[in-house]
Amino acid sequence: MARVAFDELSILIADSNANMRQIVRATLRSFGVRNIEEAEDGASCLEIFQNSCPDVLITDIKLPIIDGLEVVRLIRTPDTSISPFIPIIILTADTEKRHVIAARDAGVTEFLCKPVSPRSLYLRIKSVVETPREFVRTKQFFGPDRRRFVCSRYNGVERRGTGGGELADSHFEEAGS
Amino acid sequence: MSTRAPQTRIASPAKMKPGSHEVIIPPSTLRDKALKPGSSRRNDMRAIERAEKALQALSCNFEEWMRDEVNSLLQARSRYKADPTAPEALHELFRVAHDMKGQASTLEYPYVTRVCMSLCSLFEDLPSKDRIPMILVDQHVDAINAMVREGVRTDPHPTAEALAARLAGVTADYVASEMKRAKAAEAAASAG
Repeated sequence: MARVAFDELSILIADSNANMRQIVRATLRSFGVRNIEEAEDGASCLEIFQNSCPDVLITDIKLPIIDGLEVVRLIRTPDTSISPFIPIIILTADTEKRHVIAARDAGVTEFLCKPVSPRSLYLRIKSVVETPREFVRTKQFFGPDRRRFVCSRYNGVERRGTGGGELADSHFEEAGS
Repeated sequence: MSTRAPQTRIASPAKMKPGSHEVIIPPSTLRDKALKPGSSRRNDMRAIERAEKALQALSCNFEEWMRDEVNSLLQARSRYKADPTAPEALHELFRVAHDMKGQASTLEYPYVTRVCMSLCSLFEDLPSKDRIPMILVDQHVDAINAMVREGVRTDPHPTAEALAARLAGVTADYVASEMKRAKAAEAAASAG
């Protein structure tokens, strides 16, 4: 049996509204998270991300200075990001389908709608720690696999280009090796 | 303290052939760090209960927070009214409305969230920002002000429901007609 040690996690909250940040912070503290940082705009979010390398990012879609989804895209740029695999949870009131699709295509890991319940947030954080998602890389996309399940009834062509796709962990090179 | 992820170099997506893809298993750093032996279910329930109590404790601030947000909204509306052509005034009004949309339900004002949604739609969905009708902006802002002033916090509230639904309907109709108008203008411009 295993449990998620929330006191081991460091979490970065990005939201332009101070009240929302206070609410999320209080919720995370209650879960046991001790290391919490906050950003009120996209630029400071990126700065904190680069300097502190948090374990999880919880962010709204719309942020001042640099938009939330642009922040996600920059973090998911494997050439330059310090931690391109960081779990990113969107927490937003922008729940229209176009926003969900845009967030998915930017490379977010999970999508939560405001108002968020403590239970939903807890389970999402637990999920990203316990069952990290595979990532997919194409010429245009780097992020969590956007396919959440395999549809056994689909009999069409593989639309990912070259077929089944090989697990490519050999593409990782430890620095200095 | 955060454990910095081991440095890995990932081949640039720019070098990939169009149409090809790779599935990558990320490093298990976070899992290794934060997954510990022990029972999960009881811990989970306790943590969630603590969080719900913490939110309950914070809720005594919610009314004051909403009043502050409404004041910001009224000020932003005044600045926008003074000069509707100024992009920063429009941007500020949208920002305040968007923030309020995000937090109002959390602060137990669900109808305010709904009115903010249709107000934000005016700013986001209209093809031309020059065609935002001030009267509709006023109706939204005044509705939000009234809901907070009257303490309309819970579902269901028939008057608030009717007001939110009416504003959403009028806004959706207006946005649809503007999009049609813009399409027709575009078609005429390319034909001419």
